[in-house]
Amino acid sequence: MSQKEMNPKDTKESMQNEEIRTPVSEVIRKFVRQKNAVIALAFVLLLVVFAIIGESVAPYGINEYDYSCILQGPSAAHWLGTDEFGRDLFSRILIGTRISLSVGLSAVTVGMICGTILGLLGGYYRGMVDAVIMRICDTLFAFPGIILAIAIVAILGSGLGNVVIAVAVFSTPTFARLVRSRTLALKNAVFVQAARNLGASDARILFYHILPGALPEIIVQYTMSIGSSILTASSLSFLGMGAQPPTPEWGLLLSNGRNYMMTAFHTTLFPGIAIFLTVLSFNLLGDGLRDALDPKLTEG
Amino acid sequence: MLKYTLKRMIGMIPTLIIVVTFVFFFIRLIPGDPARMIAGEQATLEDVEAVRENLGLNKPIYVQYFIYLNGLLHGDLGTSLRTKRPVAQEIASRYVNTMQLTLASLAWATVVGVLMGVWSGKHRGKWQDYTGMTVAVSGISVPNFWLGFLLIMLFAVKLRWMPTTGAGSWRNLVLPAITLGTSIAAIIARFTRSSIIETLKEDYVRTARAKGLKERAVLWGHAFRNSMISVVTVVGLQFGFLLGGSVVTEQVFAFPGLGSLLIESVNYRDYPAIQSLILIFSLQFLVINLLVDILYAVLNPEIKLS
Amino acid sequence: MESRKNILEVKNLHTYFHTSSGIVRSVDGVDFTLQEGKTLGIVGESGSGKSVTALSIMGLLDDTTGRIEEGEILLDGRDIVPLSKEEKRQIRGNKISMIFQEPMTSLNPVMKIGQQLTECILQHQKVSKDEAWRIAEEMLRKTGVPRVERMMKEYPFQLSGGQRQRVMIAMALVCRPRILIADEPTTALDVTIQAQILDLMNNLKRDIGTSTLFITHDLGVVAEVCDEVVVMYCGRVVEKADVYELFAHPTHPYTKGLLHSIPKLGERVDELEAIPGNVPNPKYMPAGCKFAPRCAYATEKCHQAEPAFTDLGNGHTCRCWLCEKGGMA
Repeated sequence: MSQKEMNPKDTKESMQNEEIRTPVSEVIRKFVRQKNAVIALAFVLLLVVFAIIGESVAPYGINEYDYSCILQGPSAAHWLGTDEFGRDLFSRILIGTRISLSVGLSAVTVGMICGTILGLLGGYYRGMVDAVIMRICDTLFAFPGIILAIAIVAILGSGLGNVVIAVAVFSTPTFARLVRSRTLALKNAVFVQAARNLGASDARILFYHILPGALPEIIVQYTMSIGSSILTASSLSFLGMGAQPPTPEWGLLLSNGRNYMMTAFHTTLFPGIAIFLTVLSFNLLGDGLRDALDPKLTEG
Repeated sequence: MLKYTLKRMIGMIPTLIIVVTFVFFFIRLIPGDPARMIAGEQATLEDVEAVRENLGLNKPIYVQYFIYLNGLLHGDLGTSLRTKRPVAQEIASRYVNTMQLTLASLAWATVVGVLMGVWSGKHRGKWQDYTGMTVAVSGISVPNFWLGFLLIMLFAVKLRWMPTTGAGSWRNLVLPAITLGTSIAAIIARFTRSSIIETLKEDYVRTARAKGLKERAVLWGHAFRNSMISVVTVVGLQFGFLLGGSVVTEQVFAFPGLGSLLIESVNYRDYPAIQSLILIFSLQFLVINLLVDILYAVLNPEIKLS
Repeated sequence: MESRKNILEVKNLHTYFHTSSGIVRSVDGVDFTLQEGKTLGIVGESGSGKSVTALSIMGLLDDTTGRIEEGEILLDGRDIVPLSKEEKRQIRGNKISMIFQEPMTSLNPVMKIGQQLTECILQHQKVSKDEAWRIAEEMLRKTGVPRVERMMKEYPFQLSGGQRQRVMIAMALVCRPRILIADEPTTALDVTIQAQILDLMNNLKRDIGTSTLFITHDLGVVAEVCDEVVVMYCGRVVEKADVYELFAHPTHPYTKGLLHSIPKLGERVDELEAIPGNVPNPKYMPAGCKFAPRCAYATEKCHQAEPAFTDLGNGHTCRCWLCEKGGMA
């Protein structure tokens, strides 16, 4: 916003020289150049589609028992084989997409919103507010992520909802620190000073002037965090602290499959591939966004 | 240097107090009556009272806190509800296993991660870089429990090179250490790469080249040590990740360490044990961060000499 | 004019940078000659291609997207452009060495001064470590820093900016190179220290018998240290002359502009003249004389075609349409 207002002076000179590139189209141009990231984005979009319509396109229901074909390997009828109750693994993984995605997305979204607000407040007001916020972050950082999540689940009890809370809690300080350091840097920038001199309120300065400046880094961190949160959530389910049977959560499917690992390895293999590819595509997407958004990375 | 170390140790004290306080209140955060939860649904009123008495939950909260702190200072972590043995003993018997596992993982992950990162960074934009970074991004994306099962299937079941589960010999450590270290190695590789790329742009690297030094001397003599200063910080932070990952890895390999003890305790609702394990995990993390700060100073003469 | 040996000849040098949005012709046909024992100044604004010229001579373009497209760089009559990377490396720091602008960041912060000085000797000469240490100490002493023995064991952050630049000078001269390239060596320093460093460079140059290529944007410094001057603008040489000749008879409008923009001692000036406008974007160079858009005397011809060099006698040449038709301006 502020950039558009500041530009006209420059454009006059650059007009004769080069076509004008708006920041957004520049970012898109840089992003599209990275093949990995584009493929990853396509895969993420595909996952979102599966998450929405998975139930109606899956060949079988998630709890469709068939004792005539238990623990069978991949076949034409069951693309990824069946589990110990003869349930179709492909359908369960497909429908489970919604669970894994929504757990990852909701946990990180909550963590991002809380962390961003805390970071803005701490960085902008400094003093006691900042000291308290940063001390809380330090303490949360003193607990290794999964351990903290296990502790929270141990208090609140097992279940996906509590996993979301646990993951949100430990992703908050990451966002808080990131936004705080950007806020500290931007607080004294000329355009922020100018806005303050023009009598803009603190809220307006924080959300219209400082937040947009921190946005690229927040977006990158957000994307990367979704990947790691899906990993953490599936780990907790694997440990028996997240989703409970018969939910087709990927980590739980895998945990279940290991009982039959020796005879029917596909029950372990395929849910793992689903988690791996999903997390991989979020990480590649994050890498792509970082390269596209980072002004430090010059071409060549 | 000594002064710096002391300052860092003193700086840890507030965090330490907050962590201990957090862990103390942890058991009191259980919704409802903790004593009833702990005693179980079928427990009689006497059982519940016994638990309350046993945990000191009938005393005022500040007295409880004082008793808890006093116990900690004397190495008393309470009694396990599951085994009826002191928690400190339970932890001690598993501690060495987990320490061996984490250190072995961290050691190989650091060496491989740093070498891979330097290799990728040195060949920025070439095939070596793409190979290294593809391996690395896969490494941070792979669920380690799944990787563990793949390794068991391949090396223990099919090839029979390694035992599937258990602890005791170095052979029991190999597969769990690979499982646990993979994501750390990948994170270190990614960070080392970007750090090396940044360092190679520095003026003093240009000076070193202008002296006519061989490229190897420029890389290892000038760029490497400077880039390691920022890499050690990341390695330290990843150690927490490693401690967390050990819970999952130990579960996969039925490895008798602190992580599997934590899971057993959570499943049994053995609160004194859970409480102490969380404390131990975070203390370890703090100690590692202190070591990292010291290592940081050793690498950085400006801090070392001040 | 006495005839001396040409130690360095740059002929028709073209160095281009290949970026994703096109080719940048940073150095576009540069010629000059450095005679043994002399100091040649290369003057120009930032973006004039003077630093890229230096990096081309040093063979330090490898880790950029820059490449020498055309031209020769003769060191003692031998072209060093086609040499292999390894051969160029053996020349660097040994026969040609360089001092950079930023003394604060040009020394490795985690390496002791002694080690940074000796590694250059150990790389190029077959001497023992103790011998290298002794040579380094001797060179450092020549730069006039106090407590040499202690400084050898210190880290860069323990030294002041002036001391660091003296260390840089010692480091560049420790292998007694034939040519020293100094890229704005005093720009980042305090004015009082600037003069000391310039004196030191002059003395050491004579002492060691090194010829110097002195790159700067500061004509005041040029007057103090240089024998001959090359003025660069947009990757081209626009004027070349003996230092006295250049200050007495600046011919190119750009040179005149540069001279007018420095204050003279003892002269009361109400307003310093600045050259209007900016260096053009290297991706979109004007078709004719590169300076025409900023030149007060530019005619239609200047905008259409680029002038060639006009020989004004006495080794003074100038690339301007004005001196071509009017002779001496």
